[in-house]
This record gives sequence, C-alpha cells and structure tokens, in this order.
Amino acid sequence: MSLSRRNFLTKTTSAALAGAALARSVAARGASTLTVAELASALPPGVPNVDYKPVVTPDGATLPFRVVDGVKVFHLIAEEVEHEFAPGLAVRAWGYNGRVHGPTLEALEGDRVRIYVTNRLDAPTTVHWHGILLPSGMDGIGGLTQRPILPGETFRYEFTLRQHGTFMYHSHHDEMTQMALGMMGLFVIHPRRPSEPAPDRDYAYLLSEWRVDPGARRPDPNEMSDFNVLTLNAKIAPATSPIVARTGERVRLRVGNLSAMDHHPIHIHGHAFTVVETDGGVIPPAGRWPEVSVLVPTGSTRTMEFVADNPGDWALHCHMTHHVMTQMSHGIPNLIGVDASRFDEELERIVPRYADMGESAHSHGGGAIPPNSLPMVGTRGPFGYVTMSGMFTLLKVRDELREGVDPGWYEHPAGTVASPAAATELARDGVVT
Amino acid sequence: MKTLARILALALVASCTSVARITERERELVSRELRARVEPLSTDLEQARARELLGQPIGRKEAVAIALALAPEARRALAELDVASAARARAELARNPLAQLEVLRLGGDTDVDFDLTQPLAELITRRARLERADAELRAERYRAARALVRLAHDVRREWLEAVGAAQAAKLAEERFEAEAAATRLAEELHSAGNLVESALSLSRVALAKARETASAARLRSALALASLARRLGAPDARIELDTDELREAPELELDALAEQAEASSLELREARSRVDAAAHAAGFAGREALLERSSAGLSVARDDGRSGAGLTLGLALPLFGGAEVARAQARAQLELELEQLEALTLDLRERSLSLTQRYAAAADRHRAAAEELEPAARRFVDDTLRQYNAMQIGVFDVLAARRIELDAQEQLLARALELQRIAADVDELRAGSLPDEPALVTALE
Ligand SMILES: [Cu+2]
Repeated sequence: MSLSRRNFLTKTTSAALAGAALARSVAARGASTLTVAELASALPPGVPNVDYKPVVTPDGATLPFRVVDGVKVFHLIAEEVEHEFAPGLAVRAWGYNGRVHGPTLEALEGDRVRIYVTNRLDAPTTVHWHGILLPSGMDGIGGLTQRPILPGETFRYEFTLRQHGTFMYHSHHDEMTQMALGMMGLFVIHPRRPSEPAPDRDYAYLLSEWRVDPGARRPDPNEMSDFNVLTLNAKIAPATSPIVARTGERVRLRVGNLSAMDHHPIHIHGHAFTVVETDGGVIPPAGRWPEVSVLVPTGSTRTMEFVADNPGDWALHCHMTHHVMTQMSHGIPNLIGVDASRFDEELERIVPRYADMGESAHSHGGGAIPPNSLPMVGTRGPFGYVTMSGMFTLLKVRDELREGVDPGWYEHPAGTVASPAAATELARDGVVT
Repeated sequence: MKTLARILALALVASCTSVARITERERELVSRELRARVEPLSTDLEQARARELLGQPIGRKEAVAIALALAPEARRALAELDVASAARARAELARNPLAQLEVLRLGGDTDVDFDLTQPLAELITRRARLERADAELRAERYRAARALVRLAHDVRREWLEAVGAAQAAKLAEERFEAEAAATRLAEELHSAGNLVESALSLSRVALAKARETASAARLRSALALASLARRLGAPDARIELDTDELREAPELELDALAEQAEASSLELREARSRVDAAAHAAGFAGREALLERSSAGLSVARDDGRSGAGLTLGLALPLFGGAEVARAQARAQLELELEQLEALTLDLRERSLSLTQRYAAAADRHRAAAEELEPAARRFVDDTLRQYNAMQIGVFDVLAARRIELDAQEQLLARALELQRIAADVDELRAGSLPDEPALVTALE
C-alpha cells in the first residue's frame, strides 16, 4: 500500500516535493539544520566569519570563491605539483591549485555551489564529492555518472549543500593512481543553524599514505601494502605544524582518511575527547562516549571535540607504530641482540671503501644516504630526539597564547618532569634496581 | 821451407782476426736492430745491473731488459750468430793447395814426382761463393735479431700473465674477505636468534666457494710468477711486480699495420737473404759440380837423373751428369726459398689483418668494461651503501651488490689482459717478428 503511494508520489510530485523527500532522509540522519522548505531551494550564500567561523587546515589552505547570482563559484585545477613532505623529501605529486593535497573547500549549509574543475594533467580525471548528498550526475564517477574530464577540459559541477559536516573530495577516475599521487582534499560544510555553540578552535586534517622509495622523486601508485610516508595534511613530522589551544578552550578536530589501504587510530595525549560527528551526520549526544583514540577508517571522517584543559605539549598521532616512521624498510635483518656497530665494522671488509662513507643510520651516524630521502628521521624535542615522524604532530595547550605565534616548548612547573630517581628516594621507597 | 812456414802462420793469423772482426761486427749489427725495435730500459744491460733490478718491483720494460741480459735464450741467439760469423770467415779463406809427392823406385832408379795443385772450382767460383756466404750470414743475423725480439715479447707476455694472475688473486682474496665478513655477521645474527639456519648455511656455502677460488687463484699467480722468473733467466728470484701499466689501455693506430709489418719483418729479411744465398748457389752449382775434383797446378819431376817442371791439370769427366743434377738441386732449393718467402708474406698480411680485427674488438670490449660495466657496478655498490645507511636494506644486500662489482672487476681485468696481449702481439709484429697465431676465436667465445 505505502509502496504504491511512494510510486505515485515520485511520478507526480514537483522538484519541491523531491526536495522534501531528500530533507526527510537528511534530517533523519541528523546532518541538516534546514527546514523542509529551505532544503528545496538554495539559500543566500554564507559569509565567512559572519555566518560561520572558518576551519583551519594546518599546513593547508582554503579555496577562495566568488559569489555570482547567489551561487558560490569555486575553481579547482587538477595539476602536477612539486610537493615537499618535509625538508629533504620532495616529490612530483598530483594535486589541485598548486597544492598537495588540494585546498579545503568550505561553505555553509544551504549554499548553492558551482565548482569548475580544469584538468591540467596528462590523464583524464574526475572529482568526486565524498559523502555529499547531491544529484547522481554530479557524483563525479568516471564512466558511471559522467565521462572523464580530458586533459585541457574544464567541467562544471553544481549542487546545493543540504547537509553540514566534514567531507572530502578526490579523483574518482583511475583512483588507485590518482589518489596515490595526492588528488584529494577536504570539504567542510558548516551548519546554517548550529544547535551547539561553535568551538573556539576548529582544525581539519586529511590522512593519507604514500610509497616513496628513498632517492625516488615520484610516489609509486603501484604500492599495495608497504606505505612508507604517512601524512597529516600531506606533511610528515617534523614538518607538521603544531595546533594550539588556550587552556579551557573547546577544540574541534576533524579528521578524514583517504589512505589507499589503511585505517588510522588517531590518538591524542593528555585529553579525552568525544566523537560528535561522522561524515554520515551528527551523533546524537546520547550516543557519544569519551575516548582517547579513534579509528578513522579510509573513506571516512571523524569529528572530535574536547576541552583543552591540560596545559602542555601533547603528542597527536596515529597509534600504528609503523605509521610514525618515515621511509622505514621492512626487509632488513633483525639487529636486536647484536652489536650494530659490528655490522659497520664487517661492512668495511665487504666493501673496503665503506670506511670513507661515514657511519650508517644503524649506529645513528651521519653516513651518506640517498638524495631526497628522510629515512627513519625523528623530530627534535626539548629533551632530545623524538623517535616519531610521519603521522605525528603536537597539540600545544597554554594558559597564554599569542595568535599566530608558535608558543615554543612547554615550560613544565617545577617537579612535574620525570627525572632520574635519587638514591635516597629509592632507599626511602624500598626500590632495588 | 822457411817461407812456407811464414805463409802458413800469416794465413792462420788472418783467418783468426777475420772471425773476431766478423763476430764483433755482426753482434753490433744485431744490437742495433734490437735497439730500433724494442724499447726496454736498455738492450745491453750489464748482468750485475740486471740482478740489481730484480730486487725492485718489475714493470714490463724492466722485465725485457733483465731477460735480454740474463736469459740463456738471449745468449744462445748470439752464440748461434757467432757460429754463422765463423762460417762466413771460413768461406773467405782459400782452400789449402794440395801437395802431392810421388817417389817410385823402378829397378835401381828413383823417380820423384812433386805436384802442387789448387782445386779449380775454388778459383772459378770463389766470388759467387763469397756472395752466398754473405747472404747466409745476413740470414743468420736477421734470425738472431728475430730471436731476441721474440724473447723480448715473450717476456712481456709472461710479465702480463703474471700481473694478471696477481690481480685476479687479489680480487679473489677480496671476494673471500667479503664472504668471510658476511658469514661472521650471519653467525652473530643466528646465535642471537635473529636468522634462520638455512640463511646461515647459504652464507657458509658462498664462503667455502670463495675460499676454494681464492686458493686456486693464488696458485695460478705463484706459477705465473715462477714462469716469469725462469723466462728472465733468474728462476730463484723473488719477483715483485709493478702493475701500474696494466691500468692504461694501449691505444693503437693500426691502419698501416700490414705495411709496417712487411717493412720491418726480420723473418722476411731472413727469407730474402736465404733466397739470395740460394740464387748465388744456383748460379755456380753447375760449374762447381763440373769442376768438382778438378784441379790445376805446378808439377816438378825427376826421372832418370833428369828433372823438369811443368803444369798439371786434373779434370773430372762429366760422364754421369753430376753437374746437371747439382744445378737442378740448387734450383729446387731456390724454388723452396722463394715459396717460403711467399708463404711468409701471406702470413704477415693475415696476421696484420687478424690483429687489427682482434684489437678493434678487444678495445671495444675493454671500453665497455672499463667505461660502462665497472663504473656502473661501482655506482651500484655506492647506491646500495647509501640505501644501507638509510636502513632500507641489510648487509647481505650490500654483499650481493659487492659480488656484482667483483664480477665486473674480474671482467674488466680479463678484458684489459686481452687488450694487452693483443698490444704485445702488435708490437712484436711491428718490431719485425711474426707472433704466434692465437687460438682460433670460437663461436662460443
Ligand atoms: Cu596510521
């Protein structure tokens, strides 16, 4: 009975009615703050810093737009980009508008957007608006919903944003190759009528993974499992910028993942957070629970919120230990339990001229390494060498902050830093070492 | 009687001075030929100085100089020349006259008949025979010079083989060292529990193989050195080699090799001299045979109390055609010498051509090994070491690269030796001595 009624409706109702159906579906998923009537048509374009507080994409950028007849017009240019993961490691990647990844697209729920995509690559491409509810023909799947954009061509995508949240865009033509080369970006849609106050800090990250052999200058899209460059907004530590918060501020952290094969458990030190949204919509408050790590599966986004109530320098990283390494190789002998310096010694007998090449990374020396490589580097810290690279950055929480200025290393209150135990302490507590 | 003794003594002295003079002159001529054709430190090194040189690292030129001074083969060539010089001196001397005294008692009378005769052939063919002897001596001189040139280049080749064997042994030693170091590491990893048994076993197999190869290479090097020492005429010397020269690839201009080879060939000169000698011989062979045993001279007789003097003439009767046979034999000999000359000319051209071709191919292969293969293998090891430093690969991957580099170095050594062997052959050919025909290039080489 209801089936026949639905059939009747789809055949006879106007576009407004179709919009209403969409509204029901979107509202049911908690992703829209618009009324049914509002969902049926475009609303006045949202103005940054008036209608919404812009998101910050650390080490990234936000794509500018212009408004033409009430429509926000964006222009994405797919092209080859010289990209530096960190000083010492650069690649010829593919991205948008001179960046890898592409700049963040940002809009307000109800905005009508028109996105031109120019293809300056040698290969056909498309752009898929990942997680965004739109007409099928705007979904950007090469061969399925459109023909690919050929080199030199510019395509127009146009749709009305009927939801809010953290989304992504990426190539959906020869995906394996084009995404492995960096063709992706974030798409943040702010709620038109937020039900909760805007956070004090709003950061967005896109996770991805690459294969770049030490000495090579182009990511290898054929890699299936052994990715060796794991990035936060296409940067690796130590080149990842820290994020900051003043003590007591509410921080929103949006994390999307478009890695080829991996999911990343993102872990924040010193704080517990709540996941408030996925790219499917807002999680009802009753369904949220506190966490210190959240797995961000590939093809998904997670939005966390927490109050930065614990001053300090806090690690923010993927908890897969191989994902906080850069250009780690997995084909070398296991040296645990043997004297690694013996290897350098014997190597001089295997290749006598090795003596002139300096010490190797095995003994953390400064031996010659391939050009354009950052194998096994870590990060400089206030207490020495931090052995994490890759998907690692810092959350710096301070009582006082000057906007736009790195607060430097945290100054720990006296007696709050782990330090060598004194003999008297050990004796007092009956600890035998 | 007194006069006769004086003449005999004079003749004796003359013949002796003549041998010494010819011998000295011939040795000087050979020495001059040698100086123009080989360039050792010196072609007439004092033996004491040569022994002194033996105590220092020996390069190619030192080796040649020492051998020319010490090797018995060098002295033998000169001794053979001395024999030829003496033969030439003999040819100059007239044959002794024949004195014949006949005393007959017939009844109560005593008849005395005294003849002094000289063989007729001697008188009539003397000039032609001298010319033949000159030609033969020339042939012997070229033969001696060629023997010395050959010796110089044989020594050079032996030196080359000794240097090559020493360097091959050094490479084999380096390979052994590398395998030994890798095996020690494999043992350490294994005892730490980080390496499976089969990986350690594989390492030991490679080590055992390298040990065997190094041992064989050491033996080859020792044998090559011993052979060189013998060739130098100092089999007991402990020779040290100066190996620098092997690094420079000889660059030869071979466009005119055949012409140069023909112009300088000592064998060709020897063969021409033998043709000359045979031609002279053919010129007088008939007369000589005809006049064989014929003689003319003075005759003094006393018979019946009367005495008188006169001429005597003895003629061999050419009843059995001996002269014709002798002429035919001499002509056949001349034909033979001409054929040998012709064959030699063909050999010279063929060897010039094949050496030109072999040099071009060897230079090409050497260039590929020296300018491409070896540097590429070296770069591969350097790249591998950088990857090792970057912890991308392990020590056994470096070993694998090092094996490739050692293979390339061995190949380069083989190519350098091949090129140097050909250069030695070319130099020998230009110096006037036809080098031995090399082994045929087979389809599989
Ligand atoms: Cu991860």
